[in-house]
Amino acid sequence: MSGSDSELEVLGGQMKDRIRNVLGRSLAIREVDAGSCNACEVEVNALTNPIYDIERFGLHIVASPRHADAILVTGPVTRNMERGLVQSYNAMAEPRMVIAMGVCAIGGGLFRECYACHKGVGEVVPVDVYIPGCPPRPQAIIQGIMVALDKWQQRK
Amino acid sequence: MKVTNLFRFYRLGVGKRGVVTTRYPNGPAELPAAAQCAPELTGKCDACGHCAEACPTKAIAVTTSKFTIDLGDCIYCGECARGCPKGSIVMGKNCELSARKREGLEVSYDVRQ
Repeated sequence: MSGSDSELEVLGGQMKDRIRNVLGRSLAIREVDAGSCNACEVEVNALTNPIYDIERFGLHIVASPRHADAILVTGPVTRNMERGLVQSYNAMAEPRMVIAMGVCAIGGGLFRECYACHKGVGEVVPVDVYIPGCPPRPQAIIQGIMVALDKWQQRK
Repeated sequence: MKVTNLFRFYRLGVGKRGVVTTRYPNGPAELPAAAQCAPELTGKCDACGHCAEACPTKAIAVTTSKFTIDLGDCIYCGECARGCPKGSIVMGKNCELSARKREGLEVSYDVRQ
C-alpha cells in the first residue's frame, strides 16, 4: 500500500471517531422520496459507490426509519406522499433530524405553482439542514451531513 | 479450456483502476472540468436585470445596490451567466453550500458599476 492510501485510511478514521463521539455509534440515514424526479436519488446512490464511499466513515443508508437517526428527504412533498413522510418522521426515535436535499425539498423549486404538492419539506415536518443544488453533488450531500453532525454536537 | 479464456482479461489486468476513492471530506472536493455549481458575480454589474429575467425559478433579485441569489431556488442551469451582457456572472465551483436556516442560503453581492 502506498503512503497516500494509508494516510487516507487514517483521515477516514478521524471522521469515524467524530461520528462515534457525537452519536455513540454510526449514523444511519433513511432516504425518503417525496415526489422527487430521481436525480437526487441517483446522487444518493453515488454516495455508496467506490468513489465517494461513505460507508467507510460509518454512514449507512438503511431500509427503515425505525433504524435511522436522520431522514434525507428529496422532492417537493406531493399530496400522496405527505402522510408517508409524516409517518416516517414519527417512526424515528429521538434525537432525530430531517435533512432537506435539493431545491424541490427546500422551497418547491420548479413545482412551486403546482396544485398537487407542497412548497418544500418545511411545510410538513421541521427541517434541520438544507442542502441546495439541483441535484446536489455527492460532496455537497456529505458536507450537509457534516453540518448535521455539528448540530448534534451542539445539542449534546 | 474455452471458459477460462473468456475470463483471461482478469489475469491480464485489463481495466484495473487501483484506488479510485476520493479524499473528501478530509481533502478538497475534486470536481470535473464541466461541473457547474452556484452562480457567482465576479465582475462589474450595472443592475440591468437581464439575469433576473432569464432565471427560470426567479432566484435572482437585483437592485441598484445589491445582487442577491437565493440558492434554495437556484437550479444551477446557467441561464443567468448566458444572459449577462457583461459576462460578469460565472458558474462557480464551490459545492459546499449547506445551511441550517432557510435564510442562510441567500447569497448577496454589492453591485459595482
